[in-house]
Amino acid sequence: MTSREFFDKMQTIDRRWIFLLISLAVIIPLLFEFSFTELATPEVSAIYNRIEGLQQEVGRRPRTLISFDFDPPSEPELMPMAISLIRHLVIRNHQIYMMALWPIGQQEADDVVRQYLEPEFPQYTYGEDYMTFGFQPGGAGLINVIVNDFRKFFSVDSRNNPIDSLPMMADVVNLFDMDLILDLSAGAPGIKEWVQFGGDRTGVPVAGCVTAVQAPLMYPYYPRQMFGMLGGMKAAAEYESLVLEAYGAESDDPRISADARFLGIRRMGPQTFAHLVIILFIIIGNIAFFATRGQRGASRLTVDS
Amino acid sequence: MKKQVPLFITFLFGTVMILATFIPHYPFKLADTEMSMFFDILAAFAILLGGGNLMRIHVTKVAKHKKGWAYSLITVVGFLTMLIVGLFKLPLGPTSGVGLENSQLYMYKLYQFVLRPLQSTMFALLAFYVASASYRAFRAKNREATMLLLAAFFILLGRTLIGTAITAYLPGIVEIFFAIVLGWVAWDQSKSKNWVIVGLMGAIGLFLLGRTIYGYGVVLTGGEMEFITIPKLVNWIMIYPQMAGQRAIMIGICLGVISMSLRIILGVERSYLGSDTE
Repeated sequence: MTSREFFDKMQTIDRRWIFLLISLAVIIPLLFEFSFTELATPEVSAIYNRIEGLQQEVGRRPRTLISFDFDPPSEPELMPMAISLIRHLVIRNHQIYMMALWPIGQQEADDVVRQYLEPEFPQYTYGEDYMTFGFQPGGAGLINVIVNDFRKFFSVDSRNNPIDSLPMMADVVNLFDMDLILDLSAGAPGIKEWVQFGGDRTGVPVAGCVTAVQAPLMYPYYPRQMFGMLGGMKAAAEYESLVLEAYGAESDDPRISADARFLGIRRMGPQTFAHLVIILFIIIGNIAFFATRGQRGASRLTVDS
Repeated sequence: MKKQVPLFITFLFGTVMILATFIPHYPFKLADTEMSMFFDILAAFAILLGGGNLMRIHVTKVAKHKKGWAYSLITVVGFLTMLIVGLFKLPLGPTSGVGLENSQLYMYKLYQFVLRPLQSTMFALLAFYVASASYRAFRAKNREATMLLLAAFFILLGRTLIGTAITAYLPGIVEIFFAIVLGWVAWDQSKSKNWVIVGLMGAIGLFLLGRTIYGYGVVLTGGEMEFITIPKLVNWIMIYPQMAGQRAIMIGICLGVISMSLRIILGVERSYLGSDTE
């Protein structure tokens, strides 16, 4: 095989080899549980610090609204964020109000409650410490209405309890009564609608927890209209690292202190190796491209002469 | 009359909604809330239209045994199953509560064991295609492609701890590399006398070079080396050049939306009525 043939082959590697290497890059780190502790970026720290200091800021038990605007395809990125945010909010004794602008979002909220909130924090009571409004269609229109009145759209919660029967709704009329809005968003309706129709109109601070694909589109809102942002798996792992660092060591509950429970940190192993495989193929492709381009140029010169 | 009534309704409601945004007090505030609810009620009826249309197309395809009719059959069966199970909230056995958090409903089981794995599988396949497409697409064929390639390369690297590890030993290496590439672009453009691009690229290149020199100054005086590592550069790319581009696109889109909205509200644009001519 001549060098020309070799580099030509390098430029057109069968994509099944790429698929195989990506599979291995994901499976091996998952099997051996490679994980790293992440250093938090300012966007991530902003959310963590806000949740930490909110009680002091508002002078009473803080009320936080979390909107689950995603579905299973975005779950690997957004679910680790949802879990660690819920853990952090509970540890900081926030009242948590959950809702969804996406139909499947309600199921995602229920999964977090069933699999993490209820077993890890049995002292947290439904209706007093947390509640789920459920899904309602409307997107921006829905936010527009709850800016003035939650009860216009939600007469009952997702469990069919009348809203007024829940103690934590006694002093809540509209979105102005919230102290913090966190949106787990995978598209539209999502964080853009929360910023434009929720945060901007009420002045309630909004933070977005978005997929890595969506993150670049949201930077224009940061930091004035959106005080913090978790973008993709890396940010999820960074947030988990912050929670783990602050509360993991001193917690008696092995479910909180064990690294294995933190999905983002565990999933950063496969992501790191998959990125490296992609980088490797980009480098190989470019070396082969330049090598064959040089040879093509040389052969053209020979023909011309 | 057939056109005047819809045009009047559009003008009235459009104007009231604009006023309600700028005057958030009674009666505009009330109009804003009520009209948003009207919108949601009207939008809910669209599901009848959408569902009906979906059934009409696929049932016809199945009935006439057109190409791919088996997929249409799956669509029809899936649609009807979810519709019946969801509307009647069919339980697996004796159960209390009709909320969708109830795991004893068929709806919940279908979500958990059919919809979720199917959607996740479809999305997971993207990882393989993205890897294959990156290998084929990111080639330094020209200046623009080179810039895109470098940005993608550093962001990919910056999203892992490997990036941090590399630049912990060679801080500023990426900035210098970028500065050289930008300098090369500026030099090339100077031959074509494109002075705006020369100035822009040259300024960014000099800024990156200056940033690195300043960074080394910080490091040598005992400061944090983290200042000039890949994660910081990635953050810089995202917060400044990337955000500037996004803002430009967003402002353009918003101006387009404002002008189109005004055309519709004032009755200049009438294509939504079914025809653009009177």
